[in-house]
Order: sequence, then C-alpha cells, then structure tokens
Amino acid sequence: MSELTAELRQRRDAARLGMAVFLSSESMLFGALIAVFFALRVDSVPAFHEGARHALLWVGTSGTAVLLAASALAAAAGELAGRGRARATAGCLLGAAALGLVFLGLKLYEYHDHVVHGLVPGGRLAAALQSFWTLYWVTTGLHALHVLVGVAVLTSAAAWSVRTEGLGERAHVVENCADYWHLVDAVWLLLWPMFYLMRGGGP
Amino acid sequence: MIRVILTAAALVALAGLTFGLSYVPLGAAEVPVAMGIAAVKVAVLGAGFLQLLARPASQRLTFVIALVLAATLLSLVVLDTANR
Amino acid sequence: MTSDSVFADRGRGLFGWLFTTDHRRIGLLYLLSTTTMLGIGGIFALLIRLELLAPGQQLLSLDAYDRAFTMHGVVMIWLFMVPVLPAALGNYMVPLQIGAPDMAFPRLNLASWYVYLAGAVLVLTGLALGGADTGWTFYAPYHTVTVSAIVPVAIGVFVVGWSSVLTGINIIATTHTLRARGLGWMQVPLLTWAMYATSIILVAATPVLAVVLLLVAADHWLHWGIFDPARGGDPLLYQHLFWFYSHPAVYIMVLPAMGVVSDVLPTSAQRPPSWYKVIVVASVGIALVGFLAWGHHMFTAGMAIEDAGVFGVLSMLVAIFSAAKVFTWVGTLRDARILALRAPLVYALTFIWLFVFGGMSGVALATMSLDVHWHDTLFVVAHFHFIMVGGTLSAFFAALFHWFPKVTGRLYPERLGLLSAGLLFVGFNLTFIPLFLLGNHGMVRRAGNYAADLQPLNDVATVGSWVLALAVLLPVATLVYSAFRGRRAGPNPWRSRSFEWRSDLTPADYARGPYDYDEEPAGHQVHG
Repeated sequence: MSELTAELRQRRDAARLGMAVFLSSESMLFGALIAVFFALRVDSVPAFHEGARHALLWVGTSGTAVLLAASALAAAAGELAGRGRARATAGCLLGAAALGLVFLGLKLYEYHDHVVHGLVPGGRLAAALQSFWTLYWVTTGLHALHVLVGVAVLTSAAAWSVRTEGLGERAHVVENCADYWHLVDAVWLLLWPMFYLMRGGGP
Repeated sequence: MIRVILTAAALVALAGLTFGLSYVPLGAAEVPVAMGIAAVKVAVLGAGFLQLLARPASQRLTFVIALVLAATLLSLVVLDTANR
Repeated sequence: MTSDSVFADRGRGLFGWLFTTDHRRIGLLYLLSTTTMLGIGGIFALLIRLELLAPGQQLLSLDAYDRAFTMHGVVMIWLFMVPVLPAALGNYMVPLQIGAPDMAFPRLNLASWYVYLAGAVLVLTGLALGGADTGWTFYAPYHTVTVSAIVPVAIGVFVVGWSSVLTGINIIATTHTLRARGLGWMQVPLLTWAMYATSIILVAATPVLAVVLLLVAADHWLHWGIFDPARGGDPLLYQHLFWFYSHPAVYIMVLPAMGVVSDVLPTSAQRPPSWYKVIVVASVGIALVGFLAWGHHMFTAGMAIEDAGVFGVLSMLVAIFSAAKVFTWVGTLRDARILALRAPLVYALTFIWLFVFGGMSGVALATMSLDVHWHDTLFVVAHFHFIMVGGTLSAFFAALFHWFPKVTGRLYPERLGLLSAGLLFVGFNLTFIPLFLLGNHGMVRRAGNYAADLQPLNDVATVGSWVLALAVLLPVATLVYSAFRGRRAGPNPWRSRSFEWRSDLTPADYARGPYDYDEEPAGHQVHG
C-alpha cells in the first residue's frame, strides 16, 4: 500500500472511529432487547423453551451459516480493497449482499409460517409464551431491518469501489461498510441461541 | 486472506458445537453454555473480522464501553426480576 | 467583524444557512430551534404555575393539567435541554477549541439538525393533536391505556434521539482525530472535555431510549403488551430501560453545563483552573458511573430489595465526582487575584449554588429510606429542576454571554447582563425552594389541585415563575439587540487564553494549553 497523505490518513482515522462509535451505539440497541429477553426469561424458562421449540430450527441454523459466509465475504472485500483490486472487491461485496437477501428470504418464509400458526406479537397465547413471541418478533424484526440496510450498504459499496480511483488508499470506506455487516452478523450470533437453540435439549 | 478463512472456520466450528449441544438437556447450564459459546463467537468475529486487536485503542475502547454498559444493564435488570 | 465571520457574505441568504456544513452555522441553527422550544416549554410552565395559584380549578381542567405538565417536560427535556448545549454550543465551540477546521463529518452534522427538526415537528404534531398526558416519563401502564396523542410524541422523541447520536459521533471523532498539531489530550479545553464525556452518554444511552420508545408505540398502537403482565410483560422493565437512558440523560444536561463553568471561571479569574486533571477525570467519571444509578428512580416501584440496595450504593459514586468538581471551581475562585464581575461569572456562581443544593438533595433522594417519604412529591420536582433546569439554564446563559463577542464580534451592555443573571438567581430560588418545602409537606407532584393550607408557598412559587420568565426574556432581548447594535468587541475582549479566542496559534502555543495565564505573584500559589 502506498503512503497515505496526512489528510487522507486523518479522514480515514475519523471515519473508522466514527463507524466504531456508531456500531457501539447500535450494539446498545440490541443489548437492551437482549436484557429484556433474559429479564423475562428468568421466571418463565419452560414457556421460553416451548417458544424456542416452535421456532424453525433449520431456518435459524441455515440463516447463521448464510450470515457467516456473507461476513467472510465482506471481510475479504475489505482486504481486497486495501490491495486496490476493485473488481474482486465488488464481487465479494455483491456476494455478501446476495447472501443477505437469502437470509431475508428464509426469514420471510419463517415469519409466514409463524403467522399461519398464530405465533404473532401481542396475540392471545398464554402470558409467558406470548412474551417470548412478542420479543421474538421485535428483536428478529429489528435485526432483519438491519440486514436489509446492510444489503443496501454492501451493494452501494460495490458500486462505489469500481468507480473509485485509487481504491487502495480509500479502502477504509469498504472496511467501514463491511464492519456494519459484521455487527449485523454478531447480533445474529447472539439471537440464534436465544430464540432457537435454548429449548431445553431434545429435537 | 488466511485471516478471513481461519476466522470463518473457527466460527463454523463453534456454530456446529453449539448446535450439537442444543440437543443435550443441560439444565441450569443451558444459558451459560449457549450464551458463552455465542460470546466466544462474537469475540472471534471481533478479533478476526473487525480486527479490533489491530486497531487504535480509541476504536477498541468504544466497543469495550458499549459491552460493559450492556452487561451492566442486563445484569442489574435480571438481578431485579430474578429476586422479585 | 472579520471576513471569516459566521455571518459573512459567503453563503448569505436562507439557502446559505439551510444547506450549510459550517459547524458554526449548524450550531446557530440548533441555537435558534432549541431556544424556540424553550419558549414553548416555558409557556406550559407558566400555565402550570398559574393553575396552582389557588386550590381548585383555575384555567386548566385536571385532564388539561396532565397534558400541560407532560408537554412541558417532553418539550423542555428532549427538544431544549438535551440538545441545546451539546448541539448548539458544542457544534460551535468544539472545533474552535481544538483548532479543527470543522467537525469530522460536516454533512452528517447538518443531517443531525434535520433529524432533530423532523423529531421536533412530530412532537409538535402530537401537541397539536392535544398532547400526551402520561408525564414525560411515559410510564406503563399509562402509555398503554391513555387516549392522548402518545404515539407521535414518542416517535418524535425517538427521532430526536438519533440526532443526539449523530452529534455524539461527530464530537467524539472530531476530538480524537482533528486536534491541532501540538494539542495533546491534557491541553484540551475543559468545555470540549465535557462535550466529549457527554457524547459518550449520547451514543451509549440513546439507543436504549430508542428501543423503549418503539415498544411504547407498539404497546399503545398495536397492543403488543411488552410491559403488560396479562401478556407476559413487566411494567417495571419499562422503568428499567427508561431510566437506563434518562438517568444518564441528566448528565447530558449537566456535564456540558459544568464544562461552561469550568471555562468561564478561568477567564473571569485570569488564572488556570485549579486541578485541571481532576475536572477531566471527573467529567469522564460522571459520564460512566452515571450509568450505574438508574435504579434509584424505582425504589418505591416494587423492585427487588437486593437490586435496590446495589443501586443505592452505586448512586453515591456520582456524588464523589460531582463534589470533586465543585471543589475545583471553589479552588479556582479562591486563588484568583482579580475577578471580573460580568454576567457569565454571576451565572456560573448561580450554577454552583443550584448544583450544590440540587445535587445534595439528589444524594438524599437516592437514599432509599428517605426516598420512600419524598417519592412522587414536589420535593423530587424541586430537586431535578434545581440540578437539570437551573443547571442548564444558568450555564446556557453563561455561555451565551461569555461567547457572544466571539460569535457576533460585538459586546452586550454589562448592566443588563448582570441584571439578567440576578433575575435568574432570584426567580429560580423563588420558584423552587417553595417546592422543596411543599414536597416535604407531602404535596404530590403532577396534581392540579391541593389542600388550602398549602396556598401561600404555592403563590410564592407562582410569582417566582414570572420572575423566571423575565429572566429568560430579558437576556434574549438584550443579546438580540446587541447582536445588531452592540459595541464592537475586538477579537478577545475578556483576554481569555483559551484557543477559540486566539488566532495564528503555533503547535508550541497549543502545547502550552488553553489556560496559559501569567504566573501568580510569588507566595500566593498554593495549589498547582
């Protein structure tokens, strides 16, 4: 990588820090919902087990795999951008965005299934089970919204990286977009056990 | 690029581990095991993908502050609902 | 006025302001919009006090009274006090104080003002629809069952919250990456340090408020019942999340105010602040331990006694840092050779007075056994008005007068400034000391009626509210007039050594710090 000018370095440092602060802020958003989940769960473990058994385990698990693959592609894009390889960078970013769309498709299928079975927020299930489902919709819905934004961010980063002269010196823009995606991924790594895996064992 | 591949491999392995363990009735250990592995995964992702260890201290510190505050919120809220 | 004045020809006209990315202009846009909100919130305050002039119903029905105090709180807290110092003063001064050309993300900065505006419009829409009646705290189950316009108000506050986050990101990134060469962390002026500490709260606490407000809207509109026991929810969880934001939010209002005082005093006394590093540590310390105290708002709400005990102890940590700050200010004043009697100084002294008594009553309220008696009485109202409102208002006006020549290049008439400051001191104490006493008598807050024997103290408070109104109108009128007709000020009328007042600074100047005053006479310098 060529030497950065002082101005570029300053801009890069500010952008990287700004994104880090924003992502920390975003993690508080999900941190609050995770706190609500565990606060309500302490007294209602059986109901939360039952709720998790109703969630579609194969969707949650394949969703995890899809998001992990997308994150790996986004990370690769950041590294390729640093080497100035615009087309490869854009390819990785578009691949990650496509996987994001796959995740959203899976999630939509699952939401449809829940609605069919009456597992909706604010429904008429038994109290503790209902709180599981309301939280499930709020939390995964907010996450899905972030995936949607992430897809848009990755796509525009792909377009930006093929247009930009001297991509190698401005790789921090791609890295920042990838970082946003990593956060979306990290959040899902926490939501997956909460809503799918912690079901008291068994199939 | 090796960094990316190794990180992804570690994450897949941990995901497989927690997926397998979810079939085992763990009783009281369920939350610590499931969320503990999830926390390790987030840490691996932070080190491998976000490259937090290689970043300036200021950027690492902001994540540390957020994590500590989220953990504070979680623990003091659960301390309340668990004992009420 | 110099050629790079904020009012210069370049970019004149409405569009030059509405599409500006100049941090100073954005600061002034924020100043104009937040001050407008101060006016709206103030009208509600006067209505509340007028209703309480006598027992029984005066001009507000009980329902209208509920809406009046709710909208007073919502407008004052989220549309005035939270944004005014970080977004108006911070935007203007932080880059100047650290020798940065602008904020790190100028377009994001402008976006934050538009986000603020959108949120404010939503809140005002809710107001036009009759306003909310839940109290500014939106507690469950009030927000579930109310028939008032809670949704636009809550969503409006949600939107305003994101403007706070954007401002916070900008201030943090700017302070870290755009300091002038030679300007290390320990030469950063104390106002900027305070803004930096405030920004930590803005970015870390606001998202939790965002979540809780979305849930309020979902609760009220869609009946999701996340805080409704009948649907497996928990009303106390609402209070936890709300206060996790709103307790630190007190420091969003107070920390920048402390920063103003910490910078006004050295200029007034023409000497470095006593114990600069203590102020720095206390600023960041308050920002962090402020997050550990939220539970003391819930002592009487039925929370687990174990949790209440933890919160009671943790709340005391804030008092330690706060006291440290007061001692540094007193130290700065005590060791002063000269003390220029100007409006900013009087406002700063008013701040110290209000902060000490507001703070100490806060320590008392965070003591569980005392809180049981005072909870939900006017004692609490008096306490938080002393610390938040009095603190913010006195520092707001201190800042306006102090930096007025910097912004406009003109001077204000000092007598009118001193009169304004005196009116604020008198008006504030006249309004809120009676509320301490009334609360101690057991007069509950948020009540539009009271027993006849409480009338004398209520009347004093109502008269106080009129003095307070004058104490807001007079300085605003003085400053608006002086902005056009005031005497020319020259670049540095207060002979401050802080960076924003000086020009052509070299790295060596920055390295000497912003409090580079002449050495004190020998034998006088006791504290370093």
